[in-house]
Amino acid sequence: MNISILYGTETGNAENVAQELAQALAAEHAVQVLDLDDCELDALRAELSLVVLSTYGEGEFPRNAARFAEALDSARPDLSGVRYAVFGLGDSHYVQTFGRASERFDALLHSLGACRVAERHLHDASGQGFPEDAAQVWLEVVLENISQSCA
Amino acid sequence: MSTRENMPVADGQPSIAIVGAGASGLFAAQFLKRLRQDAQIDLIEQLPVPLGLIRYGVAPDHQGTKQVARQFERLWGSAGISFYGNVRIGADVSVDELLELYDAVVLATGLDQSRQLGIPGESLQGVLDSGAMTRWINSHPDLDSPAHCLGDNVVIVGNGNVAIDLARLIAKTPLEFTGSDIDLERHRTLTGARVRRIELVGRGSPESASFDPAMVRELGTLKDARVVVEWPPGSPVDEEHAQTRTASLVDASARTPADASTVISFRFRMRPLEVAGTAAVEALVCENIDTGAVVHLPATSVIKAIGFIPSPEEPAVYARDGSGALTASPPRTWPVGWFRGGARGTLADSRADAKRVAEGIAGALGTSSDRQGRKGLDTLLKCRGVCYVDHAGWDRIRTFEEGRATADRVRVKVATRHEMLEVAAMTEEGGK
Repeated sequence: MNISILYGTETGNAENVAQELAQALAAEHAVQVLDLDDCELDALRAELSLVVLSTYGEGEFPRNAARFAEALDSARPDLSGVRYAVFGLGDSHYVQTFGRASERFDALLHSLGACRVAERHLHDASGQGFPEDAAQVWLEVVLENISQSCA
Repeated sequence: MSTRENMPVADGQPSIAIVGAGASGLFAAQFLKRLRQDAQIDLIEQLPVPLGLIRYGVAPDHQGTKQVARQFERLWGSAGISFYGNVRIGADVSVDELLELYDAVVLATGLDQSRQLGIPGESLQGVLDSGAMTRWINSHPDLDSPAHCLGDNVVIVGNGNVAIDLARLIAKTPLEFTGSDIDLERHRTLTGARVRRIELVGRGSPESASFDPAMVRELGTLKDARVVVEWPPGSPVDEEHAQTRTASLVDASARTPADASTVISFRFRMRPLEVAGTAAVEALVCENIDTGAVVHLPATSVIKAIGFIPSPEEPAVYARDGSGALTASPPRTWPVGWFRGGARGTLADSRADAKRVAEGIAGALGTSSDRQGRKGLDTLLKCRGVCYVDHAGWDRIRTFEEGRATADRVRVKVATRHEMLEVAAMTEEGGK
């Protein structure tokens, strides 16, 4: 399968998750890891798009993801046929904005007709465990679902 | 030597020394490792441990933010990157010597001198620097006891995130530090029984203050502190972020318990005129910028949290502009982060700067070099009897600290250089 892993990061944690996901997929799939700032909207055309996204400040998109998200929101292309899943990183310490950016991005893709292959996972920096480990578990669900959903 | 496990590397490799293993230096190493896998990258740090402000500046109750440290653990695995902790620039090796040995020298030493107010009374007992406070509360090894209980009335000058951090840390009750890595003894030394009043004094208006709204909103969650805002009359709310800052103040003051033991009050548009007192501080005298009214704020302590500046001993080869940003540095040096741009910006800003600098170095570096790099540094340090902590030593310290974790602490920090070196298994080797 042709898979794009798109990341939006502030301090590099989301990028690391993206890199580890790519490593896990590399043996069986054609994977590319993309900085959202280097992406045009057609980056979502892969057979599967995995989006790894942190949250910044007042629930805003990380700095390298804002332009892409705004472009998507204003162009509002028809994304039917696009298959995606979102992995969010956040910090529940900040109750009101916890994981807001990944939540918004997930909702945006969904509203444009893209098919959500798996529920968004939101990793909590103030919680237990490492995001890379949680991402591997999430990835298994994504891969299992993809054969069954989005016909 | 058991702790010296830094891998030897092939001759002729290009080499990069990074001075300072804080966030900027570590991010630079991370990008350089990706961009130039053929280069030796050596991080030289004056403390026995890396992480800089991630370990000693980010508040101990913000463990989520400190999580960024984890991504650097994977740096050390590769032969291309080495850690030289406990090596002091100046005393053990100079930047000029590093320039002889390495093709590029990244200067990532940050800025750690607290900016002064420049008003009378600043040297009175009880006037404290935010940097010293933050280092104390984060168990930094190079500080003794501040020998000072803050007393009942703490005035914090500054409206940035450091000021808010300190207000929150002072106002928290011991139970609110669950999940942190604070040493409660240190907290008790500072706060005594309970600080009654914390005044946050800033020149700006609520809208122009430099705190992040999330930081103020967090004050609204404190169990035993009440947030009060002295609103300047008719404060305009027109800029893009104005609404969120003002809203965070409204939010925090609405949510805190009315019968709390500690009051945190925000006073905007105040210019400090003088620290009043005879031997010790008694009040901070301020002028209201809008009305000209002079206000005496009773104070048992005054903490200056108005930013960080270069050391007055900084060599003249480093020229700076009025904002503290570097305008000149020696050839083949690559200043980065706070050291380059002045003490402003978050971890994400440091990362962006490190990326830019790493790309510059990656382009400037040749494919081979006749400089000695790591081999030369090893020889030089050995000649001088400098015993450094390598990544295995740091790993032992980190594991040791995490091994001492309790139900309510994620780690118990090693707080002295001596013990750090001991845990890194170095003391039998003496050093200087």
